[in-house]
Amino acid sequence: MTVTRKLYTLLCGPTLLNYTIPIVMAYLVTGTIAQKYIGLYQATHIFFAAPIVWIGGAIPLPGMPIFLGIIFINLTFKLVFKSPWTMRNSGIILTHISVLLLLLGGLFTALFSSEGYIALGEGEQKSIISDYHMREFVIMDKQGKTLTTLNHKDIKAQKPLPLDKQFPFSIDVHEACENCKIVARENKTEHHIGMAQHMQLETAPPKKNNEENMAGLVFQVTYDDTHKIFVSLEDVPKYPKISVNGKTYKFALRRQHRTLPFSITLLAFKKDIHLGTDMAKAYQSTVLIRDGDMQWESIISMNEPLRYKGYTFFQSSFINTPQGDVSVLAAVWNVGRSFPYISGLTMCVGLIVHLFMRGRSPKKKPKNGKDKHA
Amino acid sequence: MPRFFILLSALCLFLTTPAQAQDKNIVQLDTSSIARLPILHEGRIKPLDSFARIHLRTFSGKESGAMAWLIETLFDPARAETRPALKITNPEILTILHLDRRKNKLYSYKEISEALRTKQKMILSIVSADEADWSAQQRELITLQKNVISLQNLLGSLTLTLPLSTTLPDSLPAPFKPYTRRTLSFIETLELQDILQATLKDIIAEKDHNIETYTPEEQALAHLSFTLSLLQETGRNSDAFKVIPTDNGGWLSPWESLSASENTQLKYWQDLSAAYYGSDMKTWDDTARNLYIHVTSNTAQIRPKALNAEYYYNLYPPFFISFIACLIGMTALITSLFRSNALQMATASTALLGSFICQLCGIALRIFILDRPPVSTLYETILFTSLITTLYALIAYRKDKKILWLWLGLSLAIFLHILGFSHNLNGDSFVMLIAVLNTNFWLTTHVLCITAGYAFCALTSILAHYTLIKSRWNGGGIPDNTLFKSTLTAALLALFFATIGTVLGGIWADQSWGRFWGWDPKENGALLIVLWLIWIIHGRISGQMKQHAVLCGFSYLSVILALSWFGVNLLGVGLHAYGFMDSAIWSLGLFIGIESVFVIAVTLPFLKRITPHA
Repeated sequence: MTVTRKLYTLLCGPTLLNYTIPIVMAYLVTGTIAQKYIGLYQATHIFFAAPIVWIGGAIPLPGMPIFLGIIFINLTFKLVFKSPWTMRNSGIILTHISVLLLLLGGLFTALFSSEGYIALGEGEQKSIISDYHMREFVIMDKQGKTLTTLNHKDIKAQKPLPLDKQFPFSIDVHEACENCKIVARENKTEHHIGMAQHMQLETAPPKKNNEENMAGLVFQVTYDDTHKIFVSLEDVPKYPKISVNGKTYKFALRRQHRTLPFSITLLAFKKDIHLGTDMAKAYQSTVLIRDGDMQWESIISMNEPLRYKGYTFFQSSFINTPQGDVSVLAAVWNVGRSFPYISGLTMCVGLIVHLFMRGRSPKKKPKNGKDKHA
Repeated sequence: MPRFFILLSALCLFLTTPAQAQDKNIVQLDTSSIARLPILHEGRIKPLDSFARIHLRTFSGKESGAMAWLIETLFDPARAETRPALKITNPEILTILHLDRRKNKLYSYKEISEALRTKQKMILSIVSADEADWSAQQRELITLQKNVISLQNLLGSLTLTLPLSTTLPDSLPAPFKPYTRRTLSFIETLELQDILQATLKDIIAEKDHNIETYTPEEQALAHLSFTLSLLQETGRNSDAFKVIPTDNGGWLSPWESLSASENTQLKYWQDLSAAYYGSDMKTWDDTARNLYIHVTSNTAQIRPKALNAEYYYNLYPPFFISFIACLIGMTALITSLFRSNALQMATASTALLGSFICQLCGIALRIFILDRPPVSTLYETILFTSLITTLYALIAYRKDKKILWLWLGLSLAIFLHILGFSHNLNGDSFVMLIAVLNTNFWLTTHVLCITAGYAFCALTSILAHYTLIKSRWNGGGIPDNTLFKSTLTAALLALFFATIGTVLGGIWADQSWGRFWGWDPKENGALLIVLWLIWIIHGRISGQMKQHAVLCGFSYLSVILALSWFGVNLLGVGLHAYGFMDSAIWSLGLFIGIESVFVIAVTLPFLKRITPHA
């Protein structure tokens, strides 16, 4: 048998699947248990999303996406070249197609989806989504207009920032941490400005929930023989700023922003709690969508999202503040959204048809212990 | 915030004790009279009977005589605080509290609260540490402290209506005359309290705080004032007994209603107190009935039929009756091993049918009481799984009249009933839903499908066990083909329901959180079942797994099921927070160990036999 033939047989047959599924299960179990110790975000990236898993940081192993890809290819070959496209086999074919759709949907979601949130107080209007996980370093002008953004993950300590020549200054990073520990500064100089006069940042171990990490930067801005050292902490509303050649520049570290092609205003937020408890029974936000000249009201509640222009807004949670409740809406943009619905329906039909056919048709006697139609 | 309350309550233990009502021998009153009265507890309006059972079960691990215990706690706190009602099972806690070991492990409020008072520093140091770092012993000590505070709260609930131990002498001046020579309650002295304070102020101004220089009348007034202050102090923390609905939809405890001036219903509770101490059964029954009518007819939130249904659910627990039926059926089957006759089969099949009817009624009652689909907690998933396995066994028995289905149905039902009882040891099994779960459509579709998947996984596994044992018993030959087919059918049904349930869960998550799949432990658990079944079924189709290996795989499905159903809850992470638990790790480990040994035991002889041919 030629190598091509062997490969063809392997790709069309169930052997590949029989060896792949246990590996996927092993990743599934390991990644699930790991969540207890390193949190969902880290565990997902290491065990479920990464194409390569590094054992002990040194030995590379193919990650779960690789094995899911193998299953996808295996199933496609089996469907195209091997499956008997008969009525009796229609249930199995439909089920297999649905699995392919599900995997395809997963691929689209992994590659093209994005998610974030908008926190709105009553009467507040926003057209920006903040990412749950990604942070960015932003240089703004006096009015708060973004001049440039840098992904916080790309910023390394003891390295200069790659800035465009339009900026009349350079920035050297002293410290960059995804989760920072604040310690009192002992070596204060005249170059330390604002918060930097009192604190320095040290890298702390990442928290289980990535949302709880506090990203930070210590950086030095140099211009006209002037050195200024600043500390920038995630979501601290008072930004470090400098004035050069009559222009003011502000520096901010924040959750990555994405601009919506429309705006949302929270008109009212309502929550019901179970009698005599603090447990929320239901909550909903009445919002006003403004898109160009059009505007209309809509209600977003638990399990009742709002969908518009490819974005879906979910009632995620709320925050109690002294100024009143702030409604938190999760915002998702996902091109693969419809795949699970189509796949789920196809799978349901396929499995019902298969069970029906199995119960109805007389079964062929298995040959050599194999039952080709089961 | 809860930590703050523990600290606050710990300090209160130093300062206050429950009201000292008159100690008197009371005749046994009819507990059922007030058992159906509505009370708001943990976000749900329930009958007082449920409230009593939940508390007694939490405190002592049992619920028999709960209403009598609650009545005594409410109406005779002085006696109740000496009644052994709090269970301590950990001998190390007993050592810490310097308490003697007892056979029934029950201790009174008085004993424990006195012992805890000397350990407040230790308790404060525990609660100031991170809860995740608490040892099992520290956790138990804090639980005990919470239970004592909860019981203290209950003990003080009705102290404003109870007779006080102080009686004012007849020789007191005019303003006090109407209150002399009779037993008073706190509530009766409300109008007197201003005058009492003013009079006492004058006495203190004249004679200072030296009570020995007071006249007997002055001493009586001082004693009354002290008692009232003490009662008010304890009453301020007494907010658990919320039996008084208000016009704005809220519910108040008697003490809260006093300060909120919504105390029209307090009269009924006063009358109940009087009837209790007067051993007046007729007044007791009449007052309880009138109070029930008054509350239910004036409060729109109350569903009297649901209250009644819950009362009878407690009185005739359907799942316990079902368990008894299963035991009877199993006994009949076991006796049939020695000498079989038609009566035993009839008994066993009737018992299985009876068990199914009881379970169905139980679930129907739960739907009616909760006014929502029946599956939202780990306990409820067990109930539903048991129902489905029983139904499947009944249908299969009806179809081919094999005694095997009675054995399987009854043994699975007994196992699942015991599992269910072990998950219903504390608190209320009728829980309120968090916002995201508050949707009837998804609870009905996704959760029922997944639970049906669990049921068929359990059936597949037990069938595979039986087939393997039978094959081994018969000298390790080829497994029975009919049994193998039955196992395969159950496995396909398990795959069907688990897959559909998992996909529906993903769609629900997409509707609620905006993502189909989030690698949450519960989602991964469901996927693990699906993958395991796919692996075994495809292994069989491809011929890479022989019948014996397939059966071993199906047999081991019980472990996959246990990990998916219960194991992921041990992690304590993820969005499916309804079932977190940390006490079952040893039971789960033991179960996995036994199942692993079983699979190895049935596989080894098979491997030895095929080795020479390999």
